[in-house]
Amino acid sequence: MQSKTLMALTTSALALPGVTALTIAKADTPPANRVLSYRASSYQEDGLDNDFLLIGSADRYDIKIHQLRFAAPVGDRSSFSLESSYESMSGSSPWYTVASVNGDTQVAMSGASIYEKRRDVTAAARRYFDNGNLGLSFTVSNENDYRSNSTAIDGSYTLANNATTISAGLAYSDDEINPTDADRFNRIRSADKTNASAFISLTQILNQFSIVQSGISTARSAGYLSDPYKLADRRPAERNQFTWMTSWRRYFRDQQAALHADYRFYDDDYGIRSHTIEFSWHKTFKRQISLVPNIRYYRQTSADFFTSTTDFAQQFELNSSDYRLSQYDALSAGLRINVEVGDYTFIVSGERYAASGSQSPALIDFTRVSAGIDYRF
Amino acid sequence: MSQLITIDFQAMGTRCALNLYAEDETAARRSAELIMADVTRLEAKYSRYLADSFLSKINLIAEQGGSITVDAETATLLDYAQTCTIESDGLFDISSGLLRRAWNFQADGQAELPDPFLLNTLLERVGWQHLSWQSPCLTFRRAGMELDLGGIVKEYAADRAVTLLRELGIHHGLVNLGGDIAVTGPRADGQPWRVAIENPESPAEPLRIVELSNGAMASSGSYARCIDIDGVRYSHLLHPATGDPLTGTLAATVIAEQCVVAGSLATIALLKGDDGEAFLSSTQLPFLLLNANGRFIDHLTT
Repeated sequence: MQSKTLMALTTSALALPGVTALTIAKADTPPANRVLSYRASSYQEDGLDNDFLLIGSADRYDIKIHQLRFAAPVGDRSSFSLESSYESMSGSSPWYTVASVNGDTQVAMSGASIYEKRRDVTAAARRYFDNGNLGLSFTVSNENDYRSNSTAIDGSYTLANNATTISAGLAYSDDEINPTDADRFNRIRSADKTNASAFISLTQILNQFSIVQSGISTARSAGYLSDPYKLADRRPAERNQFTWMTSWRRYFRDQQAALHADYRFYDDDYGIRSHTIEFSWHKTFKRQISLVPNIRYYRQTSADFFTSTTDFAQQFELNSSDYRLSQYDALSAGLRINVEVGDYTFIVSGERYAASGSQSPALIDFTRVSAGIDYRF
Repeated sequence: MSQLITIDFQAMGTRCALNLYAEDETAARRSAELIMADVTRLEAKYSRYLADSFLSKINLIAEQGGSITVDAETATLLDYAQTCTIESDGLFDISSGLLRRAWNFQADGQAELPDPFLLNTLLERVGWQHLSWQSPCLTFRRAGMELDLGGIVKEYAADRAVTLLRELGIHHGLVNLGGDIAVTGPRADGQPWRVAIENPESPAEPLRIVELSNGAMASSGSYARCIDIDGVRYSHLLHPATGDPLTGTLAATVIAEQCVVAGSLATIALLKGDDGEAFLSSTQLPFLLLNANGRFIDHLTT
């Protein structure tokens, strides 16, 4: 066990620029620069295997995302940020699933390609104190059939030993769904739902090379939680979720790199329980270039009311064939590259995700690529 | 096969050297130039003796009383200085340099007792408690103060030099900034660096050879020059609250992961006087200490 003094001095020394490549974000210092960022991303789901296609289009979602963000310090003790994103989505999604003649499950896809746009704006402000900070944010999100307003508050406090940080936050959102073609497909015309969540976490610097963080969060959704675009989709009007996450960061001096290992446990009263394990390797070359490969494994159980074939006769029983509620495993791997040139940082990243499971043939595989630039001034 | 290249230079008022294993001399010299540029930058920014340094700008405000907003690097250095002050119960104080004006130290180590009136005037202008540090804003609540980052910046420069060497791909290098040593790893053959702590009595025969494969080593005080007042030996440091020279611990060398930490622990050990040894023992780090009885406490190999 290191002495308290050695710990305090080491922690403080590690905050000095250039003393180590492992940087620890200080809770009580506002950003030094104004930053303007832009990201363009493409998210492309693989088409549905024709063997499983009952009717409709095998093309699944293709989403293009543009994000613009501006953040700036305000005076000595505050910062402000404004972020906006624009998404355009096309493709079709699973409508219902049936058992085919030979016993396989087949998927009926929504017929015509959907074309949708989503816009959101987030305004956030943060105030920095001697040993911590407090932030507030508001988000408005708009689609032609969906509106969401959310508010979040969060704070961090660093204890006098300078090695322990406690963070906590609360968030609330109020959403309204107005499905298109409601009369034609006998969908609900309008519905509401709310989400409330809270988290608390503890970050501890173990020594000059290691940081560990652990936290729990809980969330409660209430209202219309079903998917109006799926046939005979009926989910409970309430969902309570619990998450426990732990992450560990270890800096390897000889390698000029850091290993991040994360584990996440999730449990909800739909009956879904999941485990996520993720590793990423943060390698820096000559200060300007960083490479971050990562790999993630995910596994979940199915919801109690998940059904692999849509039961049209059911009028009142809980029932959903949404593949996201089925039992499945998913593996994803990605790579991010950051290159810093003067006041600019160029970022490119890519990720490949594949899910597998026996309950739903509608599970997705997708590819995401992203490119962006940050300008500090 | 990489070769050992030694580059000597003068900076921060002291002799500095880089010992680097590199494939070719050009690459080593280029790396050395980057380090020298960084050390020179820090000297130009934090020297108390250069009128246009940022520290001199801070001290202009310190002289008048008032506030100044500092950049991020200076802010982390002040945070670090504050941590040292807290951890040493107020003994480590970057505003205590003023007290030297009360003492007239002779080259032979003899000193006269200071004028009590002058000492009292200076003491009123010394003390971290007279500062208000709310990063990035530093306020001097009293006029006539002065800050000295001399006890931090040289060690900080050594730590930065090591980080820079690693980023340049030099994994077998030693940085020596006037006795503040930091290494990027062992020698190219895997053997530790052998660093000598000079013996003031006979320079040809080192006091101690320290083997260093990683981390850093820094010293405070001098194994050679102490102050002698009426036959009592004192270190070069002064107590920030009384202005008295400190006795008990005359010199200390500490090995730690960061040079800046090694340096401030060694300084705090001197400031703790008779408790210096217990203080360093509690850190469980390797150290060498010379106490007022002229006895060496050697915990370098643990």
